[in-house]
Amino acid sequence: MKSVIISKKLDPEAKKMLEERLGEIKGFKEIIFGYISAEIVFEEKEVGECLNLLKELNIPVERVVDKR
Amino acid sequence: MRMVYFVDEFPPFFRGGLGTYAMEITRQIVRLDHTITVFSRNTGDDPTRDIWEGVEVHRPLLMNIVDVLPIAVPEDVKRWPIGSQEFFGETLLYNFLSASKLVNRLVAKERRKFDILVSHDWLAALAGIIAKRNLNLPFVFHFHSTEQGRTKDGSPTVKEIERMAGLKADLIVTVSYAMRDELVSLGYPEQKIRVVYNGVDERKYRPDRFPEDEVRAFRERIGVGDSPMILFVGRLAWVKGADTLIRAMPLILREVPDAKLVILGKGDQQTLLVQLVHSLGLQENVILHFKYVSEEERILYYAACDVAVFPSKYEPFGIVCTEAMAMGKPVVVGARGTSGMREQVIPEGSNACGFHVNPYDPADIAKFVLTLLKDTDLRSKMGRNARSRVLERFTWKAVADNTINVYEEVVS
Repeated sequence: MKSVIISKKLDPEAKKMLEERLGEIKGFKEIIFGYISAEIVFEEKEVGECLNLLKELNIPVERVVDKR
Repeated sequence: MRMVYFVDEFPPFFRGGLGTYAMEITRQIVRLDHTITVFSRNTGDDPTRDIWEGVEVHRPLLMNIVDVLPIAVPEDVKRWPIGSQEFFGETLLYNFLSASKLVNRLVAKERRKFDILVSHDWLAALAGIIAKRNLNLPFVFHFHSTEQGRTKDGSPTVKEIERMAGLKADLIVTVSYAMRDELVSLGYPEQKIRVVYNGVDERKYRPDRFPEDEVRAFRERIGVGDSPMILFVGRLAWVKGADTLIRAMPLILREVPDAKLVILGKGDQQTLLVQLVHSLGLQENVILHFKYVSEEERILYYAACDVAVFPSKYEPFGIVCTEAMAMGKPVVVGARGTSGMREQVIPEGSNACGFHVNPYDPADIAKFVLTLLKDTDLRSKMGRNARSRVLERFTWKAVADNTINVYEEVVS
């Protein structure tokens, strides 16, 4: 399981759009929104596609947590 | 000084607190005009050679070697769950490939020169041992915790890796005097051990980081409002004691009925904590946030709280405790067994910044949380003292200076 932590406050529209785009990526499990950040959880080991998407959407990634 | 760091976690890829340590200490070391080359684990498809904030990072590509592990690993590892065996196999590869890349490519082929080899914890110990044998350079091993302390009985294989690293190292660095005592009790030679505390970024973690209205809005958002807020941040595992803190809540609520406990973290205890909250009827007073948040958001949690509580049963050094202290918050900390927090937190006198408690006893935790919740002046005074203590002893600049001083003992 890997979690990508993003450090940006997203408005409701941006949240919805991000959730939709993430849903198209293999292994995406859920997104847990915080107050000014969010955790994107993947079941897969590879999160490269997610990182590319976040780069494309100009959403800063703070860290990737690998929990095994 | 030209250093090689073998450290399993390095940003932006984290598993636990070691990654934060590696990020901060390497930043500071570079600022002090030393060079540092890091070898870290590749978590999948990460770049194999990279520069991160002035630090050269190598992450050799790994693969799954679980099918051949049984012919090469001790009996206890063969009994681990398959996922843990895969992780162990990757750990071996990470160590072997990192040492090989350093010895054969960076030193032999690229003619690079280094002054010292440093490994952090058992996960990167073998790379340091192998590189020392091949390059004949001084080797320092950092113990951030021990297998014995982390897991009680633990794995004989992991213990043996730690023992070998301690034996081969020219010096051992650890994070508190409590840890030094634990290492001595495990048979490590005291004269080899140096203590260097961990730290916190005092500019990021400062009481005025967020305006009051933003903190108030955050408290409303998470359901605390104007109630007294008790905060726990950390991994949700038995050793960290979030469950004991929840068990303390009924005692706290008898005297401060509107108190709210906010628990921020993830871990094996999530289901247990939910059950505990329900069985004790604490749904209105315990707020469970099972998630990872950005560092900035974590700082907001600290800013919002009135008291931070870390009832750990084993804590070589409490980074979250130091973060809360830097935010000017009084702390209540576990102080049994190996507890670096006993050294971090002054419990009495004019510089007192928190309380030491028995982390196994909900009544003891409740007693000191209540002392703080019921006395605004004491909270303010202890919070100010906590911030002062951080500035005096626990900045990353101090950590880097002290670490370099230790390395210089073996390099010169």
